[in-house]
Amino acid sequence: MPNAECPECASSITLADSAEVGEILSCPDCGTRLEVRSVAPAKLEKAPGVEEDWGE
Amino acid sequence: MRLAICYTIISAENKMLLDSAKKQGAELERIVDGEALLPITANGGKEYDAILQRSVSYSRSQAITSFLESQGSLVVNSYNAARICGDKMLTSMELAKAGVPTPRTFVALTPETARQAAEKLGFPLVMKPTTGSWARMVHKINDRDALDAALESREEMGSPSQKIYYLQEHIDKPGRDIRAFVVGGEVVAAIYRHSTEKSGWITNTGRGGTASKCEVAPELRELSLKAVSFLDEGIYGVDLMESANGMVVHEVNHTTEFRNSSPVTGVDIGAKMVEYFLRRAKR
Repeated sequence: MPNAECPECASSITLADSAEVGEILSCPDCGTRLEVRSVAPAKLEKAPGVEEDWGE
Repeated sequence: MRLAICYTIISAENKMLLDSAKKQGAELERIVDGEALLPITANGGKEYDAILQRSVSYSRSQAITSFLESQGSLVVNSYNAARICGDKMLTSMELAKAGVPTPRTFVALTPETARQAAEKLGFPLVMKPTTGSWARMVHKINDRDALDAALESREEMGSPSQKIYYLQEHIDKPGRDIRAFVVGGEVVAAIYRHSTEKSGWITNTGRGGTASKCEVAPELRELSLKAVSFLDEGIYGVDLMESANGMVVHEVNHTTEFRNSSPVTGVDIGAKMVEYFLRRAKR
């Protein structure tokens, strides 16, 4: 399972084996919403904010 | 046959849909809406035969779905269905025209007329933006002071679309409402969405509400199907409330989420959606 660094608080985050590029997750330490930008090597960036017109 | 799923982000639902497709022997190509480039030409020709549209962005969904449909692709749900479902005012108008019981609703374009609507509805009332979801900016307004505060915030800080005031009768529901999943003319499952201390009066599971199984009784089935009767056949989440005078429909969702609903209903809702999508693609 690849490890990535939270770009906000620098804590180490282990990606699930099923993680995919584009997936959104929260940093377990600081709670920042992060987007998986790459899985090999594991790379996370701050996720885009929820826009006004987002919904189901 | 080229099939695709279109999305803004890889949500839990989208992963489930991709897995279900694989299990059903179909490979869905991926269209990330933010990365798509849409070339406008006289004779485009379609790239994909059918697309399962799961964009969470209403604006992007409208742009990309109209493009794909104009190329001759089948898109589920259709542009026209998403246009209606994504706008609460259009949905309310269609529900009323179709004779579906729905809460009394007014739309006002200024704070002054919003106050007039409140006088007709009485307090408490519910004020919502016409677009958006997950109960964001959905306010229960208990009195005139609260209405004035909400209107002032929207006037000072809101975008132009938030200055369209959609005001609705508050239904005194029994701490829960219902989401019914309609897949291709069949109600495949339903859940109760319960409000909790965390969610307050709101029931959205994404806001701390909880889900439990709701039996699809004949009345619920009939009303849910009537609530999508004015839309192209597709995949919808119908939201209903139990009022003192029977069930009322307040929303129809065109990219319904289901991650919390499959475990409590025992129905693999994602698999049902994919099954239906593949059937439509082969028609």
